[in-house]
Amino acid sequence: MRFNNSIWRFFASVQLALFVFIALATTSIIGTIIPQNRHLAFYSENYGNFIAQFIYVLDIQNMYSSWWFTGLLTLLSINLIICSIDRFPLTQAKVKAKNFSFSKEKLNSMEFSETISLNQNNQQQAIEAIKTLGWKLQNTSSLYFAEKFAWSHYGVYLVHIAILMIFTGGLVGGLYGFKGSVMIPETQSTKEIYSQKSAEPYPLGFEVRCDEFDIEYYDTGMVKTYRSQLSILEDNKTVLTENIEVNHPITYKGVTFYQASYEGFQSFIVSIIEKESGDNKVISVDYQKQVDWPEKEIKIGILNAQSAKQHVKQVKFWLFDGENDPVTGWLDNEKAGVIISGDKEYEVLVKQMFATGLQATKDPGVWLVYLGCSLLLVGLFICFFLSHTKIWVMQDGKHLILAGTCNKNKLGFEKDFSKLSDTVKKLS
Amino acid sequence: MDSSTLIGITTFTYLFATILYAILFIFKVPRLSKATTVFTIIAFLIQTAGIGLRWVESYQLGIGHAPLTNMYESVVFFAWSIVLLYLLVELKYKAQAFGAFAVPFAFIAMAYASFSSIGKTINPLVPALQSNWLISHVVTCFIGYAAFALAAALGVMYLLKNRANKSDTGFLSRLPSLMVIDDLTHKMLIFGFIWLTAGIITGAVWANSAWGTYWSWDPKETWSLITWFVYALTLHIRYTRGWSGKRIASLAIFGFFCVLFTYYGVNFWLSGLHSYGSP
Repeated sequence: MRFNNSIWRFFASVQLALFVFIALATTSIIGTIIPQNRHLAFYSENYGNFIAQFIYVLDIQNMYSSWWFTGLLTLLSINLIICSIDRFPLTQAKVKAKNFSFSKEKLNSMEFSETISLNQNNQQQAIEAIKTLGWKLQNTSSLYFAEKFAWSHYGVYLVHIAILMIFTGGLVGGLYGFKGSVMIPETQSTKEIYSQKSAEPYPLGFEVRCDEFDIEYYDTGMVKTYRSQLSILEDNKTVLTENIEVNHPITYKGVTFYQASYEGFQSFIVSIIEKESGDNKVISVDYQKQVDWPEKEIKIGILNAQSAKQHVKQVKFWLFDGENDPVTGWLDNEKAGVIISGDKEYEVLVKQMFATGLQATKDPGVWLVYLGCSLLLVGLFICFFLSHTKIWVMQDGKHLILAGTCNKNKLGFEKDFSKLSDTVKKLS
Repeated sequence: MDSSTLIGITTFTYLFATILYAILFIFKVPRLSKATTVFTIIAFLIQTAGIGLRWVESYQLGIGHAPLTNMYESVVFFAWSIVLLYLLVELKYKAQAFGAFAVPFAFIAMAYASFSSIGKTINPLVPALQSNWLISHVVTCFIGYAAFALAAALGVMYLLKNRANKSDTGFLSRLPSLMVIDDLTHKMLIFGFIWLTAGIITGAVWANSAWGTYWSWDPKETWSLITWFVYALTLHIRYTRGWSGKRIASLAIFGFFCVLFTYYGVNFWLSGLHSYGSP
């Protein structure tokens, strides 16, 4: 289809493509310099009121989804589509070109051309030999023709379709996907996650519980692993329990949970054993709150905590059994220690509680994006490295005329062509 | 012998290779021709051993990972990719004059790695980098960057040759013909473009498996896309407008500045998610 009206010509033009490339490349820079998604106050403070207003008018605080940036992307898509349709007949003509109406003079004038004297008997042999080199020669009368990778002209369409697919995938994700996050304290669960944009809750349709959160360190003190043990519950029944780490998310019913962050709490899980009787109990204790061990009429608490950043290193544990004076003792976090009250010994293990920060996303467009990416690479490979090569062989009395053309990689074709002529020359 | 010694030696061997190529180019000493190539190959093998040894050393430290995880390691790998790609081009196209323009890039990269204050120690990996995508992402990107570095070197060659008189018999006449340089530039551009595309894609897939977002318009991502647009523009303009020669040579050089900004400038001036390579 080639239309001649000016609107069509505008959208099909390469100038438009070049303009959009330049416009996207240059405007993209803005968002890498001006921090994105901040409040008006931030911009006023840093750039002054006038520019801050200007930033807001043009949506520069969120420029990559602004009307004008998405407009440019849309323009690129339209240009890709129209330009592809517009050029298709030309491309098709290249693929389906008639190759049997060539004169001897025409063949001689081709970039690769050679005339070899060869008697009639050997000419037929030569043609068979060329066929064994992978050229599927066909003929009308005395002119033989073969080509390779004619379809490589379509490679560029694959590239353009792939880019449109990636855009479509992005759009599907934007329309039907969801990006949320949630903090789940250890031992607790949630049935909803919160939108990153609007902070509104989004029901999951099932329940996620954080059984345990755990940080591993290298000897240098650097973090090695953040790990959460998550359980998925349906109707209060655990259907799946798995560990997630950064780079190792889990997916359940289309929602993928990623380890994103954590938060140290001023709450503790206390495991206490009365040594004499062996009685034990696990109690969760908030900072500086008294808690009962009801069966024993014992009260416990955490009076003080020493911490670095969010991590509690030591706690001052308090225990009152109702008879003796209350006792206290410093215990290391996550290390069992002994507390003595009167004639009784208690083994106490205090563990700081954490909440795991999960990123939860649902993106039904991802597969389209990935498919587009794969096709993009395949398409680029076809465009850049597959050469449409053609050869002609003409019987001309006691001569055999060889001729050839290629549209890429001349060096490679030169080798192929000399192999061809060498094969023929052996017969002469 | 440890990896830093080997990598340190590489800085000087690449300097020496640069000097050899320059002598070859300016004074035309045919006897040196083979020796220069052999020397560069040896320099390259020393660096390969250095990188390999660093990999082994990380395992000995109990924090085994490919040596591709910070600015120092990436600059070393960048130099390695440039020399590898250059040697392949030299072997295929027998264009030794190109060496005088390409090998200096590797030397400058190594000199920066050795003499600047960027951290050179082998560090354990932060959780985000512990992924099988690490190697494929870094390798694809840097093959692309190396191809663009060579394209820029060819661009410089082209502009120099273009300024020389046709009748010039000086050393500039030893450069390949303008047509050959132009053709080779184009080859480097398409080669780099396909690898840059692969690098952006592997990065996106990795980001999606680590954070649940394949594209977040982070400065590093955005700049890689800007670079991609610049090269896409260059290829389209050549194909559809028939641009070649001086203008493509200039675009190849301009494109490489975008590569440098994506690679280095972003880490230096802009902040974002991709801060592993901060100097």
